[in-house]
Amino acid sequence: MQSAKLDELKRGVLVFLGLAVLTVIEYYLGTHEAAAIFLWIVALLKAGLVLVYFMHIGRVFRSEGEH
Amino acid sequence: MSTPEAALTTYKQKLANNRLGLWLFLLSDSFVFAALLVTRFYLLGDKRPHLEQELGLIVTSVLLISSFFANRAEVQISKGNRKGFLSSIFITMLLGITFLVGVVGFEWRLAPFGPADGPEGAVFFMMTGMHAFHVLTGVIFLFIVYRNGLKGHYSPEKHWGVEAAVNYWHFVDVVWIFFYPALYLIGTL
Amino acid sequence: MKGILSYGILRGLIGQIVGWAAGIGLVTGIRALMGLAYKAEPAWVVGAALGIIGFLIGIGAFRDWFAWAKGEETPDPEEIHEEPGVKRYFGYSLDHKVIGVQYAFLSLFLLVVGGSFALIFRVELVQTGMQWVTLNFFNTLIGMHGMTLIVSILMGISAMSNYAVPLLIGAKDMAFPRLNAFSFWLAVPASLVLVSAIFTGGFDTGWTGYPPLSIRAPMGMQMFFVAVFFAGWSSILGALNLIVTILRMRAPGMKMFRMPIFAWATLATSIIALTATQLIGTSFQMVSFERLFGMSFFDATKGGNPILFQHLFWFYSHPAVYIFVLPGLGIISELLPVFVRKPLFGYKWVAMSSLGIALVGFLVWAHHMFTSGMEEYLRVPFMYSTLLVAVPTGIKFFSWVATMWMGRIRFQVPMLFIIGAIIVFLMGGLSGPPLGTVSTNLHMHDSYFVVGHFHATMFGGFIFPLFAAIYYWYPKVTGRKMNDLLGKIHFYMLTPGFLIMSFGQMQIGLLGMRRRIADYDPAQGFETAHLIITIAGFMVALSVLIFLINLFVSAKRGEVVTENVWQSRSPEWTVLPTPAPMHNYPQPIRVVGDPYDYGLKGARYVEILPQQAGD
Ligand code: HEM
Ligand SMILES: [Cu+2]
Repeated sequence: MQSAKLDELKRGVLVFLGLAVLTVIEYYLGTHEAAAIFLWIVALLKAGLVLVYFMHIGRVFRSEGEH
Repeated sequence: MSTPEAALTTYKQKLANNRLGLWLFLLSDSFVFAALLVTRFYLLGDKRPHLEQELGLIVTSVLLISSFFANRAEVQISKGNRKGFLSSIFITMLLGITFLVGVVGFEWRLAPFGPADGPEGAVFFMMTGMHAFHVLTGVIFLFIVYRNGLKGHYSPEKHWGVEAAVNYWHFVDVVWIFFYPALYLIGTL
Repeated sequence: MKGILSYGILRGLIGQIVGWAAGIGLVTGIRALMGLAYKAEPAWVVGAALGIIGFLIGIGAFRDWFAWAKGEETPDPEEIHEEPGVKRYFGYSLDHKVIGVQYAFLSLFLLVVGGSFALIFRVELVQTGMQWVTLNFFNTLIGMHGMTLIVSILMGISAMSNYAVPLLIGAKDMAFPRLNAFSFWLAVPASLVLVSAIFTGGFDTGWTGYPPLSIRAPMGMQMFFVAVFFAGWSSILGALNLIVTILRMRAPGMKMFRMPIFAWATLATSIIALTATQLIGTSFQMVSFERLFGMSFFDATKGGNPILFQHLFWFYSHPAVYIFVLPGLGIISELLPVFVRKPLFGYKWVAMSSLGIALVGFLVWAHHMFTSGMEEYLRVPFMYSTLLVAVPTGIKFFSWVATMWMGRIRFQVPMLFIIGAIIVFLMGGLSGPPLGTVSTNLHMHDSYFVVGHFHATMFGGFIFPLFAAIYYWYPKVTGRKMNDLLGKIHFYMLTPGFLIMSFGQMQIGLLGMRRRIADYDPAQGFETAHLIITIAGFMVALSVLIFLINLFVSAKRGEVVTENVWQSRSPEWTVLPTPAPMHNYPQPIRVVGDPYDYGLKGARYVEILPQQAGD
């Protein structure tokens, strides 16, 4: 139990680092006239990371306590 | 009805209902932002408004960091670390306010157009305004959670209020993840 | 004074007036501080919005939520005991059965108001030239008729689904009882703001509010926008609640494919309402801001694009027509087996067709824009997607016909309205494809043919099923049956009256009568047709009047019923006494079979679980 929770804190850091790197890439692409499609892909990746790891979208589909 | 286990089962059932409800709300809300994105591309096409690139990057980073602390707050309370939870919520709130100051206080003044100056102004002020409104409600929500946290309200088993506020906050961040490139990066000046 | 104020609705009204005045004062004060003179429009917009919030505060909608924010606990809705009696219906009740009835009253009230608007402008249309209303008032009436009845329909479907869905699926209440009450009471002040549009200058755009006209229309336009915005939120939150209820609150044993069709229909409707409604709110808000702050979204002279508005608007308003009809079609499928004494034909297909219609319904919006000057390559794809809707709709028709085939039909009043619904909806449905085909649409767009088309769909898909549902569940609410004779008179006046009206509209539309105009050329020779349509319209109105009289008189004098009047298999009739008790299903129930196995030997559906010790 304890170690799983520790992992979650670490995972937060990792996800954040991923988001930061993607943002830097995004900024670089945007200021160097890259095609829009790449920017969309980066945005989708970022949104995906937040949805899955920060917002725990999986939890809605876990039907605990359903009667 | 009265045994603690029964109470916890009811709580869990309610929790699952609440989660689904919140997600449906966010889904619904995301249609507003989708409509604004469509508006931006319909009216401006591949032209983007004249904006301060550095400021855009700064506010984006601020919001991203705030999301990190929001997540941290939720993890801390589920671990039972009340102090860590409170400080993380507090930092999230401060960063949220910083974001608002950055967008409404600076970007709105620095922009070379007003809301009534053509479609650029209309799109920019509508998008940032609608988003800022959500940030503001998010900050209020976080403040409520912070205050109740100070009173010792949440526990590792029962902290739906924290989860809801944090998830709403992440949602506001996700919206900005799309708005930022749409306003600052995609297209040419 | 104290006694009167215990009626929540009165506290709400006082709150609305106070809020409205505060909003006007606030804007005027801020403008004065900035050195600006009084300007009516911003002051009234903020006033209307704050008035709605004032109403909600007055009635106590926020009390529990404020308590939560302060960190206090509130009692569980199930444990709140409300004083029985009529007073519950005038205040902030959390019981879904009360809220369903409240919705029904609001719906019927708006039906009467909106219907009267139509009667006024129908009289004007009988003769060429202007006889008794001004042009602006005529236009206002047309727009108000449309939007008032749309809100009425939204309230009507909420009435049916709020009352029936938790009972049908064996739930104690909705998933979020407070949110449920909030959704309802949000719509009440919003309806008042809508009606106020008449007194604040009116508007001349029709219910669609297209810019650029809506940017220039009188101030009533803004009241219309504010009202639709809040009524839209009411619909969104209600839909959210219904989805969670249907997905998570079903009785044990009720798998998705054992759910009553009406629950399926409500689920499909709610998915549309939850998502698409935001688009009408946003698009109206954008026009509103264009008027208030000069943001040029839609004014082409300032770089905006009016076509964008139509895309956003119809992305809601086409799916909205399925919001209007899907619950009604669900009612048809739900009640038909009861009166035919046969299982519903093709249960799974019917269940899935609702979702199918909802899904395809999202992909057809531009069929309202064939003549708008939109991108031309969009025409053909949207024509095909439009015609595709006929497939799931056809499934429903085949199921109804096959269900009735060789059945032992009992022609009781609800059944009459079900049959009427099927016939009228068929007329509406058949007039759809000619409109969906580009080549014919170019001629019929903006004509009375469209008016005839959508009245037929909405009467067949909503009004008739609503009446059927009211006749059917009335005993559950009051413990008395509605008068049979009056019910039959209602039906036999409404049906021919409506068909004459609708066919008349289609006919003059094909001959070239434009919609939404106050006057027409006498040389066109439409006067007789208009006279007939108007008389038929009054017939419809009279039949509704008879229905309303029946509704009120039967509550006191109707035949008392205590048992399962319609021999239904549904748990609210077989398990619960009539009228329904305050709390649903005091004993837990379990679902052990399929809902529509009428006439099958040994088929079982719901059984009462043996009472557990303790608890
Ligand atoms: C087979 C099914 C249907 C088809 C193919 C169809 C097609 C169309 C088309 C193409 C129009 C636009 C006409 C124009 O303005 O040029 C239209 C208008 C309309 N339809 Fe349908 N329709 C169908 C079913 C329905 C249903 C079920 C409803 C439900 C209430 C409905 C309600 C409306 C309304 C309200 C309008 C008028 C909107 C306005 O301009 O004010 N239709 N229909
Ligand atoms: Cu349509």
